[in-house]
This record gives sequence, C-alpha cells and structure tokens, in this order.
Amino acid sequence: MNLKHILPIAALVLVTSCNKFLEIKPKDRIIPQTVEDFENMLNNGTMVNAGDYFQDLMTDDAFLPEGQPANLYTNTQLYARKIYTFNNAPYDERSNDFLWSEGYKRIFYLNTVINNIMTSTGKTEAYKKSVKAEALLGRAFEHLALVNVYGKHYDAATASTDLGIPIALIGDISAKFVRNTVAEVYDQIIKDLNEAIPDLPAESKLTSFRPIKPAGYALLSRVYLYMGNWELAKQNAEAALALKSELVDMNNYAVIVPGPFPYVPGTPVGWTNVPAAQKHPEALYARHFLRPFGLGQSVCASSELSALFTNDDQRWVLYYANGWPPAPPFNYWNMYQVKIFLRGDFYNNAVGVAEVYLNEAEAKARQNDMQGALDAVNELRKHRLKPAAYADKAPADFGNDPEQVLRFVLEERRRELAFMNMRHIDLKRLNKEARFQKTITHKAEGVEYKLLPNSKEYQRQIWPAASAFNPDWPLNP
Amino acid sequence: MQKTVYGGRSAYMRTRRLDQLLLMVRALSMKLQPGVSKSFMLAMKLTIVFLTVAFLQVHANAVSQSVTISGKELSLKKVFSIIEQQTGYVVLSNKKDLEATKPVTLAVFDMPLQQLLNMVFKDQPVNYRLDGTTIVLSRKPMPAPISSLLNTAPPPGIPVDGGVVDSLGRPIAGASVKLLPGNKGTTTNNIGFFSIPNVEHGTYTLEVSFVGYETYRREVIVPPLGVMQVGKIVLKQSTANMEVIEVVATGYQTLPRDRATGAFSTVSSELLSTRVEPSLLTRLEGMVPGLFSKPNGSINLRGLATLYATGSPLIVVDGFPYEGDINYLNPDDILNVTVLKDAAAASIYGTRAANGVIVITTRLGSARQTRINYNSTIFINPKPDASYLELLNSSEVVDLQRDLFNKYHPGFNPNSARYAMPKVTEALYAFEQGQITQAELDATLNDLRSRNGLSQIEDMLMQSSISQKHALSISGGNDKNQFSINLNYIGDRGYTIKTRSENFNVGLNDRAQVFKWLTAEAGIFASLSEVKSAPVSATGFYRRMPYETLKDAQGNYVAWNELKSPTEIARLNSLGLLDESYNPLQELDRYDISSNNNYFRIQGGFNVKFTKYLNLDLKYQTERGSSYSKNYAGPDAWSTANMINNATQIINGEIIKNIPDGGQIIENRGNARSYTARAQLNFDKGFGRDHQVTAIAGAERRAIHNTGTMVHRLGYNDNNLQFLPVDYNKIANLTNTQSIEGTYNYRFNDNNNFTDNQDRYTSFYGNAGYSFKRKYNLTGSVRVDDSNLWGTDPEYRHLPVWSAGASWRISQEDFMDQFSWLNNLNLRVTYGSGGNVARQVGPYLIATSSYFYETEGMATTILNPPNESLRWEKTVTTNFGLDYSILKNRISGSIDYYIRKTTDLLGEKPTDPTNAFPSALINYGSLSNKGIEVAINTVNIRNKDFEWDTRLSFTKNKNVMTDIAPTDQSIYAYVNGFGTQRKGYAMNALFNYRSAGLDPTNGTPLVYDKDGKVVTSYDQNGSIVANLTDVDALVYGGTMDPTYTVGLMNSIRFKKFTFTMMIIANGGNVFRDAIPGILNQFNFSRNLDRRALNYWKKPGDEKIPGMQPAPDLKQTGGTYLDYIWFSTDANTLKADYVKVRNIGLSYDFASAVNRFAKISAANILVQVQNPLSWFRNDKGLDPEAYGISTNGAFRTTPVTPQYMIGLNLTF
Repeated sequence: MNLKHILPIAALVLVTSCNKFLEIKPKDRIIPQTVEDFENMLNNGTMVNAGDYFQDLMTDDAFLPEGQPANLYTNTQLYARKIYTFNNAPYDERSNDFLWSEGYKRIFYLNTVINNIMTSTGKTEAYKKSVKAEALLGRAFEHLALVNVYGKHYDAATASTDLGIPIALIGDISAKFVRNTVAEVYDQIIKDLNEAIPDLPAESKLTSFRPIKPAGYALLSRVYLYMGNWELAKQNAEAALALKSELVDMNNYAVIVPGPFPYVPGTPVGWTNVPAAQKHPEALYARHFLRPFGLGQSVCASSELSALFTNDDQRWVLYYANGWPPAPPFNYWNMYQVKIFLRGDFYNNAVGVAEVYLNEAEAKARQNDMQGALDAVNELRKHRLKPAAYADKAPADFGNDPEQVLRFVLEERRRELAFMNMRHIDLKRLNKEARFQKTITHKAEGVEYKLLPNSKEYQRQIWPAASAFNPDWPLNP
Repeated sequence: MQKTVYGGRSAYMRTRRLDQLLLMVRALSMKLQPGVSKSFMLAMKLTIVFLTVAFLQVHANAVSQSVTISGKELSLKKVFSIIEQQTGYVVLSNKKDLEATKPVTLAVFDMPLQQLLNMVFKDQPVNYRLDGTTIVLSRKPMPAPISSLLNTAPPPGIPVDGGVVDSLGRPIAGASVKLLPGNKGTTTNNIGFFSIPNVEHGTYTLEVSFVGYETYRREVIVPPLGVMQVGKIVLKQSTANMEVIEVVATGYQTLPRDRATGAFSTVSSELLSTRVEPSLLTRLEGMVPGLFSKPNGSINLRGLATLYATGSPLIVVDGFPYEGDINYLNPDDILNVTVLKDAAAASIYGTRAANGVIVITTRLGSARQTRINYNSTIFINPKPDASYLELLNSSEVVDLQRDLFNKYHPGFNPNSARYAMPKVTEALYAFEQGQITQAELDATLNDLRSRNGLSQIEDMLMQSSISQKHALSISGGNDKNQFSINLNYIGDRGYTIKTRSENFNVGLNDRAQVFKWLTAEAGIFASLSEVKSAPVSATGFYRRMPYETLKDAQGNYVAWNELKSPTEIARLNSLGLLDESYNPLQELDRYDISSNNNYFRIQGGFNVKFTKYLNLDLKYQTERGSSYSKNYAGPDAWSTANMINNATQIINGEIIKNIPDGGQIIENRGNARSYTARAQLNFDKGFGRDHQVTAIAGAERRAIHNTGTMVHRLGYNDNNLQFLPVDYNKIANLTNTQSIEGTYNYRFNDNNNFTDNQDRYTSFYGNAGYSFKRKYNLTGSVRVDDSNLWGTDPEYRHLPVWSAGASWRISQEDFMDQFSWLNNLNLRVTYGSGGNVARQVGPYLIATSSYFYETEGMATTILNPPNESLRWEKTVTTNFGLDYSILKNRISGSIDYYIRKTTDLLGEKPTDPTNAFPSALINYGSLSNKGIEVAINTVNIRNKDFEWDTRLSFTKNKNVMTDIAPTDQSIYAYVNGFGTQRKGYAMNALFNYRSAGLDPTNGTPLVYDKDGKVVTSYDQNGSIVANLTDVDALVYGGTMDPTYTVGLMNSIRFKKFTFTMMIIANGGNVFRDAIPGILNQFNFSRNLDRRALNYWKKPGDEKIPGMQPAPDLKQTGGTYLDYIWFSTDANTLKADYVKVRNIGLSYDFASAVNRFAKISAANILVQVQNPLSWFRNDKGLDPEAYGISTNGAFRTTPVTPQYMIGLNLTF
C-alpha cells in the first residue's frame, strides 16, 4: 500500500468515525436528571415570591391619600387604583396580572419537581420524598392563594358548583385546563397537604424559603378555618404548634436607623433589625411579596386600622411610620391620623407561627373555648406589646361572652396579618356571617366607592390574557 | 540577456519538488529584493520553504490544476467543458473561432493545464491565453514560427525583447508577437515576456495580437548589435463577440453554468471592484436579484421564511461555512461570489442553508502570472446632519417645558426631587418653592434658551469619521504551484472623539501538484483587530436637552442633570461621598474601553485521483478566534462614583463603603474554535458522446466550540493591577444605603461568569447530475445532518433535505439555429425541501442553574418547558428559471420565478399564561413567498473610446401568511408598531385605526369604528370613557417589509475615465411616521420632534392641519391613547425610496506612468456613497434612518454621504 491509498483511508476514518462525537452535552444547560437538578428549582428566584399585595388595597385596612402632596392614590398604578375602587377587572390583556402569571409559573416549577423528583437520580428515597413534600406544600399554598382571589369563598353548600380556578397538576406547555370548582380546588389542596406532611423535614433546607413540617399543619389549619371546619382547624393548629411554637419578642427589635430620613421620604422611613423573611425565627414557610416594581411602600393603614393600634404595640412602632413629608403638618399622621405601612417586601407573607396561634384562637373561640382562645392570643400579644402595656386577657374581661372573645381574636388577627394578602379573604369569609358583614368605603377623586358584603367585586376577574386562550371558561360576573 | 527581472532559468535546475515550493519565494523575492546578496536570498528561501512545508503538513483547498482527458476526436468545446469541470477554468471565446477548431484525440492523465492547452492548441487555428481562471481564445494570425527556434547554427541578428500586458498591467501570456515582414515571431511566456532571437538589422512592423484584444502595431528599427528592448506593450481589450462559458461554484463542486439547474447568481471580482466600500455585503447590494439588504447591514434572500430562526443566509468561504466576522474578508481578495437561492442550495448545505447560501471564493494564485496589486482608499464620513432629526432648539424646549409645567405639575416632592429633572423644571420648582425670585427664574430660563448644546457636541465631542484601507496582494506561480499573499489594513475612526478601530489581516494560499495523483492545497488567513471605544456616544446625545452644554462661556465643564439632581449630588458631597457630577467630555478620559480580536482560519486539503473519472477530496479547515475586551472605569468615573455611593451606608455617622474606592474593571475574554473535516468522492464520466454523469458523495464532520470568561473587579488599580476584596453576600442585598431608593443590590455573578458552548454536526451528502447531449440536464441532491442538538426531538434530527432539478438548453437545439440573434437560452426548474429544526427546545425540559443569593443555594431555572407538539419547520421551494443571451451577447441575464412555501412555521408566540410561560416556541402557522427575479445586463455601446454597460437587477417578493395559530387577538396585538402576523396578510402587517381627527372638545384623537361612526374615547377631562376594542374597525395598512428591490448600475468608460453609478430602489411597504407621541410628561427629559410644539390648546385648533393632540400630563389616557394617535391610517406612510447608492469616477493613468516600466496599471477612483435620495413620503423621512417601538417611531442618525478616494496600482 502506498501513500495514495493510505492517506485517503486514514482521512475517511477520521471523518466518519463518530461514536462519541455527538454525545457531548452543553455545560450551561441541563436536562434535569438528578435530585439536585429538581430540588434546586425550589431555590429559584421565582419561588421566593408570593401573591400580590394589591388585593389588600380593596380591604378596610387600606387607605390611599390622594392629591398633593400626599399623593399615594395619584401615583399608584392604574390597576392598583382600580382595585382600590373595587373594580374587579383591573387587568386587561396587556397588563400583567402577576398573581396569575407568577402564581401559575411557580405551580409549573412545583409540578416539575413533584412529577419528576421520585425518578431522579442520586440521594435516598426518603430525601426525594421530603423534597416532593416541600413542593406539594408549595402547590397547595399557590392554589389556595389563587382560589381565594378569583373564586367565591368556600361555602360547603355551593362549593361543588362555585367556579374556582384551574388546578394545574402537570408541567406541560400545551396542557389545557378547565376552571375547577371551589370544592375541587380545596380537595386538591387538602390532598396535597396530607400527602406532604409525613415527609416534610423538621429543619429548613438552606433557609425558611424551604418549608418545614409545621408549615404543613399550619396551612392545613388555615384551609379548614376558611372552610369553617373549626375542629380540624384547631387540631392542625395544635399539631403545628406542637412542633414549633416559639414566637419572637418584638421588644427585642428596634429601629436601628431612625427615621424619618431627611432625604428618604416615602420609602422606608427608618430601618429596623427585624430579620428578613427567610431568616425570621417565626417563619414556617417564607415568601416575599412579589415586587414587580421595585421597593416602595405605597399604602397607608386606614384610620380604622390605625385606631386599632397604640404606640405600645411594637408592630405599630416597627412597621408603620408617619410618612413624608417628614416635617409636620403634611405627613400622613398629622393630616389623616394614619401611618404608612412599611413592613413591605422583606417580610414573610406566607406561613408563620403567629398565624397558627390566631387560627387556634379563632377555632377555639368559635367552639366556645374562651380560655383556650385567649391563651393563644395572650401568647401572641405578649410577644408584640411593650411589657408595661401587656396584661393577660381572661374571659371575664369580655363578660364571658364568646362573641366578644371571638371579636377580640379577629381584631388581633387583623392587626397581626395586616397587608399580608389575608384580610380580603377574611372579609370574604366573615361576610358569610350576618353578624360580621361589613360595607367598605373608599374615596377617590371625589367619588365614594362602596364594596357591599358578598359583592361580586370580591372576586377578581380571570385575567383576560388567560381567558383569551380558554374561551370555554365561564368568566366571573 | 537581461532577464533577471523575471527570474533566472537556473531555478529550474533544482529538483522538481523543491522547485514548486521555491517558486513563490523566488517570484516574491526577486521582485521585491532585486539587489540583495545571494546568501541572504538563500536563507530567506530556506525559511520560507520550511514554513511552506509546515503548512502542507497541517492541512489543504480549491480546484484542481491538472486535467485528465481521453477520447477520440474530441471537439474543443468538449475539451473545455472537461477542463472547466476539473479545474474551474472558464473559457472565453469567439464562437466562430471555436467552430474553426479541429477535433483532437487525447489520452492524457493528470497533465498540467497549460501543458495540455499547449498540446491541444498546437495545430489549431486559434491561440489561447490564461487570464486568471479564464482561458481566452483568439485566432492565430499565422502559423506559429516555433520551428525557427530549433535552428542549431547560430544565426545572425540580435534578440528583440519585450513584455505584453493588459490595461490593468497584468501580463498576457501566449500573445502572438510577430515582426513583419519576415514572419519572425513568438508567443509571450507566463509572465508576458517575449524574446524574438536573431533578428537582423532593419525596420520592421511589430505586431502583437491576442484574443479579446485589439491588435497592436508599431514600427521598430532593430539595431545591428546588442539587445533590442521594445519595452512594455499594453494591449487594449476588445470584448465584442465573446461567448462567456461561465461556471458556478457551490463550494462543494464547480459546475459549468449550462449544466446547473438551480438558481444561482454570480458576482465577479470585476463587478465587486466597481465599488470600494470595505464591506463585502455592502458591495453586493443591488447586484444580486433576490437579495434584500437592510439598513442595519443584515440581508435576506427571497423574503423571510422564518420568524424564529435566523433569516440571514449561510456564508461559505472557500468551501467551508464561515463563522468569523464577514467584515474580516477583504472584498478585493475575492475572486467571485456565488449566491445559491433555491432548494438546490439548501440540500447541499443542509438545514443551515434554509435561507440561501453565499459562496465566496477567494483569489488563489492567479496561476502563473505574477501580479502585485496595491490598493489604498480613504473614506470620509462627515458628521451626520442632525437637522434631519427635526428636534427642538433650546428656546423652544424651554418654552414648551415651561408651558407644560404651568399647565400641570405635581406638587414639589422632595423624594422625587432627588432624581435629576430637566433644568427648566428644576428652576420652575425652585421658583414655586420660593427658593429663587422671578428675576432669577427668568435669568435662568433665558440663559438656558441661549445655549446650543448640539453645536457643542458637534464641535467638542465629535470628529469626522475617517477610515483608510491599504491592501497589498501578490499572486503568481507556475503549472505546479500557485500562490497568493494578501495583506490588508483598515483603520477607522468613529464619530465620537477618541474612538478608533484597526484591522490588519494576512492571507496566504498555496496549491501544489505534489505527485501526478496528488494535489495539495493550503491556506491561512489571520485577522487582528483592535477597537478603542468611548464611554459615551456623541450621536446618542442628539436627543438630550439642547440646553445641556459641555462647557460654559468661561470654558468650565458644565454638569448635566443625569440621574441625580444637583441638590442630591451636593448632599452626597457634603457627606463626604464621591462627586457624581456628570459631564460627557470629562468622562471621556476617565475610562479605558478597548477590545481586540484575533481570528485565524487555516485550511488544507488533498485531492487524490484514483482514475481519470474518480477522485477524492480530503479537506480540513479550522478557525480559531480569541477576543479580549476591557472596560475600565477610573476611580473618578461617573459610573464608579455612582456605584460606590449607592452602596455606601452611614451608620451612627460612620461612612461604610461597601464597595471600595478605586477603579473598576470588567474584562471579557472569549475563545472560539471550529473545525470542519470533509471527505468527498467526485465522479465525472462521459458515456459515449451524449451522456455525461457527474456525482459527488461525501461525509463531513464539524464542531464549533466557544468559551468565555468575564470578570468584574472592584477597587481596581489599572497601574499595578491590584484589586480589593468585597463581601459579595453583603452587597447582594444592602439596605439603608445612600442610593435614592435606600437599597443596593449587586449580583456578583452578573459580570463574573464562564460560558461554554459546543455544537457538533456530522453530515452525509451527495448529488448527481446527468447530462444528455449537453442539452438536457437532470440533477438531484440529498443531505442528512446529525448533531448534538440536544434536547431536540430525535425524530426530526435526521430528516433529509433534498432537491431535484432539470434544465433544457434550448439554444443548443438544431431548430434554434435559425435564430442567429439568440446566443443562449436555458430553461431550468428545481424543486426541493428543507427547513429548520427547533434548536434547543423540544420534548425535554431544559434548564440552567446559578447561585441565588436570597435562597443561599444553587437555583435551577427552567429555560424551555417541555414541548412535545413541536414539529419541524418545513420549506418547499419550486424555482423556474430562464437564462438568456441575445444579440451577440449584448443583452443577457436571467429570469427566475419561485414559490417558497413554509409550513409549521416556528415562532415565539404568546401562550396560555396558565401554563407558566407567557410565550413559547410553537409551530404556529404557514406562509408562502412568491417572487420574481430579473437580471438584465446590457452592453449599450462598445467602441474604442466609449463603453457603456448597464446591469439591472429587479426583485419582487410577495409574502402571505397562509395559516396562523390563534394567538394574541387583542387590538393592541394588531396595531403595535412592529407589525403583526395575520392569516391572509403579509408577514409583519400593519393594521391601523381609522383616524377621525381630533376631538373638538378636548383635543384627544378620534377614530372610526367599523360602521364609520366616530368613537369618542375620552371625556372632557381626558379620562377614558370607552376603548375601541373591535378589531373589525381596523384597516390594513400594508406590510413593513419591502416587497421589491431594484439595483441599477451603469458603467460608462470614456477613454481613460470610467464612471459608475449604482441606484437602489426599495419599497412596496409602509411605515408609520415618526410623529411625536402625545405629550404626557410635563418634565420630558429627551428632545422631541418639533411637531410637538403644535399641540391642541383650544377648540378650533383641531381644524388646523398637522395639529398634535392635547397633552395628557396627568397620564389618564393610558396606552390606548398612544395607540390611537400613533397607529392610524393618517400616520402611515409609503416607505418606497430611491437612493443613488454610489457614484464613482475612476481615471486610468497607467499610460502616463508607463515609462516607469514596473507599473503596469494604475488608476485613481473617487466615489461618493449615498449622495442623493428620494423618499415617497412627503415628510423627508428616510426609511434607512428610522427606528420603531411598539407605540412610537423616531428618526435615527441620518445616512450621511460618504466620500472615498482610492488609488489602485498593479505591478
């Protein structure tokens, strides 16, 4: 064989032998396969957010001063103004209904974990189950937030026909969904939580953005409270507290950089040393509010809510400020006797120990266990009020009237959970009881808007960008 | 004999192989260094030999230089066609001359081309000459007197020596030289030299003739003794009655044009050289039917057939896909460009060629003739004419801002006052707050009115952009070895002062016949470039407030209101923080922003001949590129100060700088590698007289690997390269800082990262052609690609692309002989399929991971959700073509008609947000492109002193969305500025509201609904009462993409002057006028179109033509208001335009310098680019200087005439 033959053969072999040649994988992209690949989806930036605070604007907690110079109403986004004035279709197809878009995006991530983690490689079976449990809890949390904004409140009598939201259980871009009934959504939430609880870890992985077992019970107690099932609400609250019941004495926190800053009006007036959501000792499952427009406090406590606080309440001291302009007479406090809400974005809006005490208290109050209810509320207040102002409350303080105790529990709930995407749900469920029905009034641009009890305006309209793809979905009235 | 100039004959005494390698050295060194000592020469030769050998070992390219032919009684036409196939050499001949030739019987194997030609022409009545890769035939004036050389007895007389060149100074080999009377004569050698020995004393007529040239005659008196030097004889071209036998190069093979069935357009180097722009793609504009050029330099062929994938054609250089920057290629080094437009293109190159292929062949040693060319061009871009932008002047801005402020403004807000606001607004607020008096306010406003920031920007921040290009190319060789060396330098200067770029590149190509059966090729190309940038862009400041000046009357720097207000900056300064005053001129010296790129392309190959009809090509190419960019901001740079201040906390009076003082640097290093290896069998065999079969089959593998590293260092000192540590976790989420928002976030991995991308492909391909009687041709091709396109559905990874075609050379039919005016008529048809695979998406979920500081862990982010419904995007193209040539080739060209149907069009489209992702890549529709392309080339006048040629290329494309999946159906999706996709309409269709003027009560725009009723959208206060949401009320305005493009080139030569002019016309599309949007900011901070002044103020104003709507300063109107003002039929203009793209005048002064014998061609060229334009719209709005957003349009930096002056010398 001479060169004439060797050369081409050698080259042909070189060109055509390609067993391994095509089997390289890109380094910057992965097809998730290992437990870590899926588990790390729970650490994603998308997963640290929850809900949107705009829904709180429709409640009796919110007040938006308008006009100059205290122009919170004037300066807020159009859809926030719409929500504040009880327009239940605040988003058109072009504007982003973050609750829907981001909520379902998180569900997509969670579904991807739930449906794949058990067949992924590495780690033990038990570990995989614990990751799956975390995702299941997350999915329940998202469905619960969505169903209570877009659907009617759970009513055992009508839940099986009331339209809720689509239950998304698979992560597939071409999946088609239906609007499930409120009952179906609640069933799914309970199913997910019950499946999750046994496997949830005792300690948070990384930070409190990753849930722990009591978060499962806590969320379940919230679900049963919404359903009016006081016994199960109580049992689950107790189960949660049995695992984690420590509250932080808020007297230990302070404003470390006292406000108001001369040059930082409006935005955080004073910096506190209250830990961020994921580091907060009371967090069972931490989530921020979504902050699509950056940091910015843009709602005042209504005068009704402001009146519920005293300066002995550390929540009032740490979370609310006089607002700008810093100097009297124009700040909110001087003009309206209200304060601007500052707790804002860094804090936990998902599941914490305090809410569990409140769930337990309400369930017990409704079961006429006045002492039990007050014990729970006392435990919370002890950690919220200045020691000098704190005194244990006993049934006798309420004339041994269970209704008075319940109203006290609900008042504490309102103080503790203000602007946490909870009040509008509480209003919806309390409106179902004649004794708690309430008409909410907001004023803007000279017009007085009223939100009547059980009004259809409590249900946000399905986002047109979603219904455009699902013309078969019935819309909310 | 004084032949040393051309190299001594002793060179040929060496061994043959060394000879081949040495030849280029000799040609070069003897030319360049005629006087250096022999030992130095030898050392130099050896060095270059080693280099050359090294190249050959590494790798190889191009067409074979030797020919294998056998056959009895072969017509010369047949011989030429074989030569064309095997070497790519084109034959240029007078038809009658060719007919006069006798058939030859040949049995040669692997004979060097010239040797073969000498053999073939030995007893023919015609002679030949090689000109580049063209074989030019001419009738022999008389039998060649070669026999006279054989006389053994030394005859009396002296030699008559001389050289023959063409008008460009290129030597003419094979020209016939005679002395009359006596018929003593010879032909010129490779380098155009001739020597007629033993000429007796006397007076003769020297006659030099060569095909394609006018015969030269001159009287000479031959002395009795010595050597008679007649010097350089320049032959003038005469190309009448020439038939061009063209070839097309597909990159994989070279085919005679008459056997190709596909739609090809070829642009020769001659045509390319009529323009002097440094970019090849710019030079192609208007020359290739079907090619649409966009103002941004991007191109597409035959309209867009894809939305998702890239729409630009594949670029192939010397047979290999090219990953480098197209601007690295010097157009002067390019031999020809072949554009493959139909399915035949796609099927050769696979899916990558779905948008057509541009095949570029660089100039290899123009075989045998040594040629040195030097080319120098200066390009001058005057400063753009900012008046095109129609902006307000200072006085108008001040008045408008004052008026709007008085109309409405929010109360003074000390928080928002921390942000910079326009100086007018700032003064008005200060007055309102009682900080300044009325007199002070007036003084401030008057001062602002008097400033002219634009002229300062032009004077202090800008320079005329000047570029220069110098190119030196050397080529030459002999039968066994050819080479070319190209050196290019391009220096460029941007509009902003202190910006410049430089590119230097070197190309070396060599081809050697190693053995009879083995040809080796090697090429290396290196490009080195450097760019120096500025932190600011002067043209970017055109839209700043015109009263922002760089320096005041005293020459002091003036701080601009940029980001933070003067009071905020003063506050920071008073705290002891860094000064954030901003002045662009000052910033210039505080940065060092530069980059450099090195690019190398190395090719090598062998051709192994097994038999006369079967050979094997083995080719390899690798590309290596490295890039480095440095973005250094000094310690006092504005961006540095801003970042450090924003991250600074002050706690208990203590200043805590979380980002250290000092400079900052971002360094980016990139590395790119690719290689392609290919083995290809070529088969070409005739069966009998009538059948010819050509086939290729090959396998290819290809890998592309790009890596990159980016680092960002803080507290960096550029003098000692030291930097300071920072606490990334801390600065990831700082609160209580001195930024206006009070917080600061730095993501350490935004500017600190690694990238690594690898693509690999293996491909198998083949094509075959069958030709019957050289009249009927059938072709077919198929290709299968496989790759690591990972995550993609395997089902679609192996789909073959294929094509089939046929052609009929009607003019070869006997019955066409009667039409003597018809020189060529060829009918072609092809059909084929190709398409795009959705890369990087498919049935698998694809994710990436990175550290997320909040969750304190690695986070997986989903890039693409699994999408099992994705299908292959398929394009089927049918092409009908006709090539024609009539009236002795005075009129020639082609007509092509194509139908290109794309189904399962892939597009990034909105999807149900309930599925997590607002958009996804889906198969969402189908579309068709139909079009016609016409090329007409005419020789209008051709005589000795006056020539006039015209080339017209016309392209018309009709694009229709034939199907579309339901996506966003809202009215905004119809009216947005980028156009929309609707079934039955062209891609990127514009839909418009029907304008009904302005509302007489409040000055808001009115529109008609579908019944023609006026819709009042806004109440008395300008608040929304009702939106028009019914899409039926909209009217179709047209497509945004041009539907036709025309290039008309005229070239007129009068004696030594040549005038060329290229006119471009584009249009058939529409665009929206760059009207100012509705005034909705009392404190607008960017300059506006001057029509903004003319806004509705009171009822009755709406009757004035051109009136703008009332301002919406409270912003209650919403985006709907923007749309019903911008997206109306009244605001939609026809986008047709005609531009004189260039006018060039060149002067050939070769004869003037002829007596300096070494210069054989010389010309000087003056060209102006874009001197004239005409727009169909009456607003003077240039579609090439226009930008668009979803709800607005704007004028961009105007297209400025560019002036060029070039010098071209050939030795």
